[in-house]
Amino acid sequence: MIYRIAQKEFLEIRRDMRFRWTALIVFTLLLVSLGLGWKNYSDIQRDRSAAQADSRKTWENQGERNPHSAAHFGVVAFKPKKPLSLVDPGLDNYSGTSIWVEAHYQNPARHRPTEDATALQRFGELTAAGVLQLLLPLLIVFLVFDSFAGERNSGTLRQVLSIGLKRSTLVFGKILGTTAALFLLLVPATVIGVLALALASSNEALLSSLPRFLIMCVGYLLYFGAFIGISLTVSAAASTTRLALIFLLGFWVFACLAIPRLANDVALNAHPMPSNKQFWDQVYEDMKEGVDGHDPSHVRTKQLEERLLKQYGVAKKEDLPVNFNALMLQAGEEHSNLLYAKRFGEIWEIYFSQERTQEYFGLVSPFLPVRSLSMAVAGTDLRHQEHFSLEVEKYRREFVKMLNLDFAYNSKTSDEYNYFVGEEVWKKSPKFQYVSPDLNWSLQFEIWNLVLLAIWCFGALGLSVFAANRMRGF
Amino acid sequence: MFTSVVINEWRNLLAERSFLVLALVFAMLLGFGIYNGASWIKERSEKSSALLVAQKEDLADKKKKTAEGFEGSFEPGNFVPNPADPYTIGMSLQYAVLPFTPAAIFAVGQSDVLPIDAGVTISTLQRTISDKEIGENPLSFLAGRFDLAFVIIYLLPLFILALSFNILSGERESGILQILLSQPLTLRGLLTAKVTAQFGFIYILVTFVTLAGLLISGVSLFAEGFLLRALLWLALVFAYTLVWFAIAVFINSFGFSSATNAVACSAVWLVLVLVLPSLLNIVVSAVYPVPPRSELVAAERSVNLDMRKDGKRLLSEHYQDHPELMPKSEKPDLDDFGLAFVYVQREMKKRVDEVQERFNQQLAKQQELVGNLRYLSPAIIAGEATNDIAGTGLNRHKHFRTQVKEFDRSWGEFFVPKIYRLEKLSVEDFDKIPRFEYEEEPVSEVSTRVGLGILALLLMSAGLMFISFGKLNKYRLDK
Repeated sequence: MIYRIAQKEFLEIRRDMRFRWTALIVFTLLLVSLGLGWKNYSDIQRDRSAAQADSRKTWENQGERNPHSAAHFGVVAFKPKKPLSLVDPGLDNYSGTSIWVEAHYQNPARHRPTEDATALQRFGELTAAGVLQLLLPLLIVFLVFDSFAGERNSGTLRQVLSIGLKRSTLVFGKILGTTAALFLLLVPATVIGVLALALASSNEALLSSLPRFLIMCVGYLLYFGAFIGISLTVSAAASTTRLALIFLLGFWVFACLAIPRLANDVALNAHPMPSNKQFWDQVYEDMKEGVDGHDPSHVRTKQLEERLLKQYGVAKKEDLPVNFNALMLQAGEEHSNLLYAKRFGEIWEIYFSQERTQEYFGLVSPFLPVRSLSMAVAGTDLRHQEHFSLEVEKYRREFVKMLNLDFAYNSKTSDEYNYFVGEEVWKKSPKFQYVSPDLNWSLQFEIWNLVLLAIWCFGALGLSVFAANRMRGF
Repeated sequence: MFTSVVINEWRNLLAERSFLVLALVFAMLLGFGIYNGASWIKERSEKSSALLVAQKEDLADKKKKTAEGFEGSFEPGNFVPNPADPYTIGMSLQYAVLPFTPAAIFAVGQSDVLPIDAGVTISTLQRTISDKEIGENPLSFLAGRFDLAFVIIYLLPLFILALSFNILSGERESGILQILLSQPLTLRGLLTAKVTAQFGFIYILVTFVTLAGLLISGVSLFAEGFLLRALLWLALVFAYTLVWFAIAVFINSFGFSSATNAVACSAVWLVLVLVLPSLLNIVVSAVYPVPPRSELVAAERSVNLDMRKDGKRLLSEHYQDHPELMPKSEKPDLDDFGLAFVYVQREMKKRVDEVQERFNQQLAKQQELVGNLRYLSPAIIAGEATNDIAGTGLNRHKHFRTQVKEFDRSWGEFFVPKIYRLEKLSVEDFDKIPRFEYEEEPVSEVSTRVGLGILALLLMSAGLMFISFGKLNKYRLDK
C-alpha cells in the first residue's frame, strides 16, 4: 500500500506544472553553480600553485645573502583550494589565502577574496551548496504544503481514510513519493557533481574526495528529510492550504535566512575580538617581558651567554667558535614561538567560541548544522583554515631555524652579519608542502552537527506521523 | 467611499490576530536590527578612536621631549630613538580613520570587510601591523549581519507579500468581492484603497519603530548630515515598500487562486532578492575580473634592490639625482643602513602602489557596473542605496582611499627629504606634521545616486500598477 501511495504521489508531483517549473529552475541553478564552482576551483588552484612555485623560485634565486636577512625576506605559503570547494566554497572567500613566512613574526593569513568584491557578493553567492541549502528546501515546501491540506479541501483525504488505511502508511507513502520526485532532480545533479569533481582533480584527489562527497550527500539527505517532515507535519496540522504555505514559508525564512544572521550577531556580541593593535601590543609586550612577565628578554640574553661561555670554556663572546648573535636570534625564535602559539591560539579560541555559539542555534534551524557539516566535509570551514595556519607555522619554525643555525655554526660572533651564503643553502631549506587532514579529522568536530541533523530529520518525520494521526479528515 | 474602504481595511487588519502577531514580530526584528547595527558601530568606533588617541599622545610626547632637549638614549638594553628624528616618526604607523556617518546605523554594509582604519607610513606597509591584520572571524561574513538593512531589504518585502498576496484573490474566494462591487465602487478604486490602507499601515509601522529604535540607541538626530540621510532613507523605504505592493498587485491581476499567488509572490521575491543578485555578482566579476592577489604578493617581493649589496650605489645615485636633498652641513654616510632602507622602501612602495591601483581600478569598474545593473532588481537598488545612505559602502570607501593616498603622499613628502638631509624636527615642525582629516563625500553625490535608485523604484511601481490596472478589465469575479 505504501508503494501505491508513493507511486500516486510521485505521479502527481511529476504532472504538477509548479513542480516542473521550479524543479527545472533549481536544477539549472545547480548546474550553473557546479559549472562556476568547477571553473573557479581550477582557475584558483592553477594560480595558487603557480604562485607557490614562483615564491620558491624567487627564494632560490635571491643571490648571495646573509641567512638571517634572507629569513626576513622569507617565502609565501599559499592556501591550496580543495576539490570539493566546487560544491561548497564555504569560507574560502572570507578567509585569508596566503601567509608570509618570515623570521620573528607569525603572520595571519592575508588577502581575503571578498575584499575585492562589491556589495553584491553579500547578497549570497551562487554555489551548489547555496542552492542545496536555500532553494531545495523551498522546492520541498512548494511540493508538500498541500499534500494533506489540499486533499482535505478536495475531499479525497476523507475517502482514503474511510477505506481503513492506516494514517502512518499514508504518511510513509507520501514521504517516499516526495523523496522519489526529489531524486529525479538530485540524482542527475549528483552525477554531474561527481563528473565535475573528476574533471577538476587528479585521481588521488578524486579518491580522497569521494568519501567526503558521500558524507556530504548523507548530510543533505538528512536536511531534506527534515524539511519533508516539517512540511508534511504542517500540511497535516494546518486547516487550509493557504495557512500551511504561509507557515512553511515563514519557517523557511526563519530557519534559512533570519537564524543564521541572528546567530552570527549573537556570537559576535558574546565573544568580542580584540583590536589588531591590542593584539600586537600584547605580543610586543610578551616579547619584551616574556610570556606573562616571566624571563624578560635581557635576562634571557644573559643566560644564553653564560651557558655558551661555560659550554665552550671561553671568556668572551667573540672567542666562541659559533656566532653568538645568530644563536641569540634562534633563542628569540624559540621564545616567540611559544608566545605566538599562545596569542594566536587565543584568537582561534575566540573564533571557535563564536562558532560554538552559532552551533547552539542549530537547535532551532537545521540550516546551521547542514551548513557546518557541508563546509567541514568540503574542507572549507574554520577548522581547516586553522589547520592550514598551524601547518604554515610549523613550517616557518623549521625554515627559520635552519637558516639561523646555518648562520650560527658557520660564522663567528665577530663576523656579525658579514656572512653570506647562496643558492645551495636556499635549495637545502625546507619546502612548504601542505597536506590536508583526512576525513576522520574533519568529522571529529562535526559530531554535534551530524547528530543534530539526524534528530531534525527523524524527529520531523516522526512528527509528521504524529500529526497525521491527529489530523481531521475533513 | 475610498476612505471607508481604507478604514474598513484597517479594522480588518487590526482584528486579525495572526496579522498582529506578524506585525509585532516584524517590529521586534526591526528593533533587533537597529540594536545590532548600533553595537557594531560602537565597538568598531571605539577601536578606531583608541588608535587615534594613542598616536596623538605619542606625537605630543615626542614633541614634549624634543622641547626638553632630549636626543635619545643609546645605553645598551635601553635604546630610545631621538624623538625628533624624522626617520622614527616617518616610519611609525599612522592611522587614517574613516569615521562612521551619523546614519551608519542603517546598514553595516561593507564596513566589516573594507578596512576603516588605513595605515600610513613612509615605507611599505609590509612590515607593519597594518599588514598583519588579525581580522574578524571569516565565519561572520558568511551569513552576513542582522542589521536594519537586512530587515528592510529581505524581510520587509516578505511582510508586504504575506499581507497582500491575496489582496484581490482573497476577497474573491470568500465571495466578498462581488458584494463589494455591487456598491458604488470600481475594482480599481477598491484595489487602490486596499493598497493605500495596507501600505500606510506598514510604512507607519516601519518608520515609527525605526525612529523609536534610533532614539533608544542614542543616535543624535541633529548630528551634521543626519537629517538629509534620514530623509533619503525614508524616501527609499517608501519607494521600496511601494514597489513590492505593486508586485503583489501585478501578480493578483492575473486572477490566479490565492495559493498560486502565494507561490508566485514567493518565487518573485526569491528571484529578485536572492537569485538575481548572486547571478549579477558573477557577471560583474567576470566582466571586470580582479587580478589574483598573488600578483600583489609577487610585487611586494620582487625586490631586485638588495639593500645590503647595492645600498651604497643606489644611495649615491639618488643623491646625485637629487642634489636638493644633500645635507647642508655634513656629507651623508652612504653606508648608513637606515638611509638605504628608506630608499629601497620608497622604491618598493611605488611598485606595490602600482599593482594596488590596478586592483582598485577593477573594483571601481565593478562598482560602476553594479550601479548600472542595480535597476534589474529592487533589492539591489535598495542594498546599494542603504549602503550609500549609511556611508558603509564601496563608494564612500573609495572616496576615503583617495584621501588616504593623498595623506600618504604628504606624509612621505614631509619626512623623507628631512631624512635624506639628515635634519631633525624642530618643536615647531611638530605642528606642521600632516594630519588626516576625512573630508565627507559631497552630499550631492550621495543624493544623486540614491535619488536615481528611488526614482527607478517609483517608476517600476508606476509601471507595474499601470499594467495591472489595465489587466483588471478582464478580471473574473466569480472564479
